Amino acid sequence: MTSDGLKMSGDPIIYIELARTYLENNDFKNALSMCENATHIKMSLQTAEEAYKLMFDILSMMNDYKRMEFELENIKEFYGEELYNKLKSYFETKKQNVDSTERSIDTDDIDDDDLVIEHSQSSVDIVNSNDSSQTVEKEELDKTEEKTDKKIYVHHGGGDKEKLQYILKEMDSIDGVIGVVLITDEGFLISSRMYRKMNIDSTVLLISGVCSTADEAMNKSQIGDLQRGVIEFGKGRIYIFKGNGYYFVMISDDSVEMGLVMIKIKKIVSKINEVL
Amino acid sequence: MEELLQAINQLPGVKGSLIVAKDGILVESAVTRGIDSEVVGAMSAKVCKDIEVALGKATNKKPLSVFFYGMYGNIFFMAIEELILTVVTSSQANIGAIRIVAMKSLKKLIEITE
Repeated sequence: MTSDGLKMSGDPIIYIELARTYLENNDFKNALSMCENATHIKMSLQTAEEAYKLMFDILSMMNDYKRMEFELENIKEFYGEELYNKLKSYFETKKQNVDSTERSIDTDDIDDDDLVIEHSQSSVDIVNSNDSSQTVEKEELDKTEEKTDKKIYVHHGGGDKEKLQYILKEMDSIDGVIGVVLITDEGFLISSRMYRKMNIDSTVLLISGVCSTADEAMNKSQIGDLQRGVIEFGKGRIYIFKGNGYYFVMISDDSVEMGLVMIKIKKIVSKINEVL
Repeated sequence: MEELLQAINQLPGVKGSLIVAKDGILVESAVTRGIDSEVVGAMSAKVCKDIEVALGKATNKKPLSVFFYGMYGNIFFMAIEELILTVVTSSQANIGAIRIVAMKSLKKLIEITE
């Protein structure tokens, strides 16, 4: 029985899931503890890989790279070379990502707030935080902001990220905005700012697919290139604006006033044009 | 169906309208010269399908509305159940008014097909 009143299980998957839940709530200590419980149980290579990857995610957020190296040695001893090599490359990628992002954060002029880095498979999530060693509650980005309790997930694929983030930050003032994404014509992520955790890759994939299909059909119908678009589905809306070689995409719920958003986006797109 | 499309086409700025099934097959079309109804219909179906795949659910009960604004005109379509109603307009058209008429027409269309 754990201190939370949970019956201890012999199934590592349960511990992995619990670790994920703790991680989502930014409780790194308990997340790590659950991962340790999982790794103490004999498991398949696939499950072990999953458990250790999650453990590395947690440890990298805690900046505990020595512990990661220690765990790598354990993996080599207990699971053999194959898993060791896989996880070593995973560890190195994480370390590189954090190193490069930390270097760029030094020159970050978005705000005075500390930044903490979250990891995803293909990109780095930067979350503004009050506490440099933990995450995640976003503080006021500047004095004009009113929303103070939002988590913000920032992804970067390239470009002048500080300036872009500063521009995208303007959307924070609109209630109901779920996120903003900048992607290239080819469907590569430039930058994004999400107020809810969502799969950025599938969003980018959807937008690039929709835009290329629409562009093609509009050209064939002599309507000209796609300039902007609005997609309404259920309780959500996606606004697409075409810039110089990129698409500005905003995802919102249906409570947002369409006219207000359109005006705001037009202003933002003209600013982005200056940066990109 | 033809009557419904003609009613939409009478709105100012409308260049043509068409009905396609969600699998992209053209059901009915009334468009002016220069608009490839097959291409526009296929695009509507594909965008609709892409969105459904991304959302992980069908847009059967609640309508899906899509507006695409181009340099020289707009494409607007609505999808509900198995049908998509697409309207091609000039860039000066009143999309808000067209949207209301299209929504009414789509509801009638569903009644017809049931």
